Amino acid sequence: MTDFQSEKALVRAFHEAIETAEPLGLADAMAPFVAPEWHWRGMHPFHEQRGPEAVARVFWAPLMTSLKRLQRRPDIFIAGLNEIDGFKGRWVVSMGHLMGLFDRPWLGIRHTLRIVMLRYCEFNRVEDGRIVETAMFCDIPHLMMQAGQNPFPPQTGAMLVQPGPRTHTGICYEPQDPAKGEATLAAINAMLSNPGGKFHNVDEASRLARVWHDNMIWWGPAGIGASYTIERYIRQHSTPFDKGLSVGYRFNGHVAKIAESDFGGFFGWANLTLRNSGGYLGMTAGPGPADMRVIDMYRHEEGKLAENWIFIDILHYLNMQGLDVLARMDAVQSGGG
Amino acid sequence: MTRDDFQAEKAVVRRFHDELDTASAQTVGNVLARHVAPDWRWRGVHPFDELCGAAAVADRFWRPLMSSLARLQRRPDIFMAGLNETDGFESFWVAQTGHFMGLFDRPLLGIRPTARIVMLRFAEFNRVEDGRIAETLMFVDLLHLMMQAGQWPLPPQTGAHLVQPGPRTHDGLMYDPQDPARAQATQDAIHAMLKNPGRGFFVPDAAERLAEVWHQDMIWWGPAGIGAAYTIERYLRQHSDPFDKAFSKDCQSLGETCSIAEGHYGGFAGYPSMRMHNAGGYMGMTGAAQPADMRLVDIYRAQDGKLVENWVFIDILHHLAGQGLDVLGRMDAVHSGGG
Repeated sequence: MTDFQSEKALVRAFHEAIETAEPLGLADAMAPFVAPEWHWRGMHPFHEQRGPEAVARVFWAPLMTSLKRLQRRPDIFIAGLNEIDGFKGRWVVSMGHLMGLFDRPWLGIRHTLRIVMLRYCEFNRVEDGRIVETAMFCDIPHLMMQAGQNPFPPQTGAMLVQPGPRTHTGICYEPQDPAKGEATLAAINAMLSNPGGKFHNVDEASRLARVWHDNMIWWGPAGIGASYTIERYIRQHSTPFDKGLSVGYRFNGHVAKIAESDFGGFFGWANLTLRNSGGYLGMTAGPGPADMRVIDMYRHEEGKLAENWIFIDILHYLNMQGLDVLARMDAVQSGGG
Repeated sequence: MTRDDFQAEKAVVRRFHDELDTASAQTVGNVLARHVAPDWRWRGVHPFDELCGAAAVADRFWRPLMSSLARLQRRPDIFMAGLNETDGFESFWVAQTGHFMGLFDRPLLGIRPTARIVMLRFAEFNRVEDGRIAETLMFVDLLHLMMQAGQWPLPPQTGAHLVQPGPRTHDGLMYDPQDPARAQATQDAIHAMLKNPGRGFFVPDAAERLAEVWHQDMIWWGPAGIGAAYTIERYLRQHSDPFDKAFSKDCQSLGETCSIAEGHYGGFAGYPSMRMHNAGGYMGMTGAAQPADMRLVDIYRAQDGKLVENWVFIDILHHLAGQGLDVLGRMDAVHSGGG
């Protein structure tokens, strides 16, 4: 079956229910849409939760208490079968921003009484009319920067509230041509298996040009930032990444990978385990390898990738290396350390 | 102590500074050569590190500094001399702290110029022997200059950033002979602080313990990356607690290179002074893979038997480089649109 209309309808109704709920009513609002043992994976400091009550208590209620009049502004909405489990699991992905008025402190971050846009990407697995599994990534440091509380050393890429796809074709509420989704998945897989030497080879730009458009955009997370064109992507992300993280690099695989229409992507838990040998993110060398949880979403165009939205649980990656960014910033802003 | 009067040594250093201050990037090598020993041992902060002889110090330190900070002006706040306690009061040292002020007109070590005033914090220890400068420790606060130039490379600091004044009492420039008894009292106050019993800074009674050797209104004029803290309570929160939390497991004292006192002032320099292992969080950094050295200068002002002001210079760039982070190299790359 290549029609995901019922799964999409469920996730859309789920989102609608969250948006119209009061903080105290969130668990009840979510309960009809999710399995009782709903497996929810969030970023540091939320981590893994089970069931609507825990997810409401840990994530949604505090968020909606702090970000008033929370509004979901999706840029991509797609569904598909999971390549990782042999195209059995049915997943629905929503990516964009959660916008609100930052009216109360959140996770120790000082409120601004102004608009903030929280980057998010959510993978939901639907089974028997319920959401049974979710990965909810959001970019907390990106919100800290918008609130004037950047906790990091200067980043290599640009800081901006990132737009959705240039084509504005990411919201796939209607059924899509399955052949298009297959082509997108093929382009993603071609990128993942693109043969060639390491990033720092002199012909790295040509190697990347086999699978990426020259005007590619890497919409990276706060701490790294966004970069545009293959040349700047190499200088602003892949070279620092390779220099800092090439030692002890381990790929752990993905949990889900889907594509629909011109859009597709994957997440892992954790995708990568790697040790900072010094300099990456402006940090000293790490005491040991640490996990990197990542979501990558792509836009495909004529056989190559044109845009890439990246979510990395940087707070978790740093926390595993002994740096609790949120706690330190909270202490620093209270006049301590 | 074998001698109470350091006027001859002070005169050597003052003549040296006078000539240095009117030198240009072209003449600085010759000026240095006239005042220093042929095998002058010079130890600076990262990335200057250890140099030998006038030519090397001129090439690596003074010429780039004078080329970047136009119309360089020395503005000392403390000037003192004494016999070095560390070597059993054998050697004569003259120490100075203050700022080098200039117009930041050309890049320095990859830091972008601003065409505006910058004040570079410095502390200098000179050993004088046979009328010449035989040995020098030169600490400058490059991170503090980066912050003034709007190029802050590190996470937010706990203390305050400001161009720091000299002693509240304005009696730090001791060009004239001082009463040796006063120097002894200062050295005693410093020793009392160093030996102040306790299980480390991070204990519940830390404030009371510190109050035995520090005035309540103490000021810790810390380096950029940590910043300045005022009062015992804020010193605990903004410097000693974060320091102790990160380093409590593995902090090794390596001793000092020089320790002197004169008048109400005293202090020491260690190169390095400590070796420690960041367990995570210190200066907003992740935990380190291994211990790293800390080169340090501490200068104190004593008042009525307790310490009241402390000027602190730490070679943080060296400490971070010892943990795999080349701050200057990364910032240069970031400013060029790379990383």
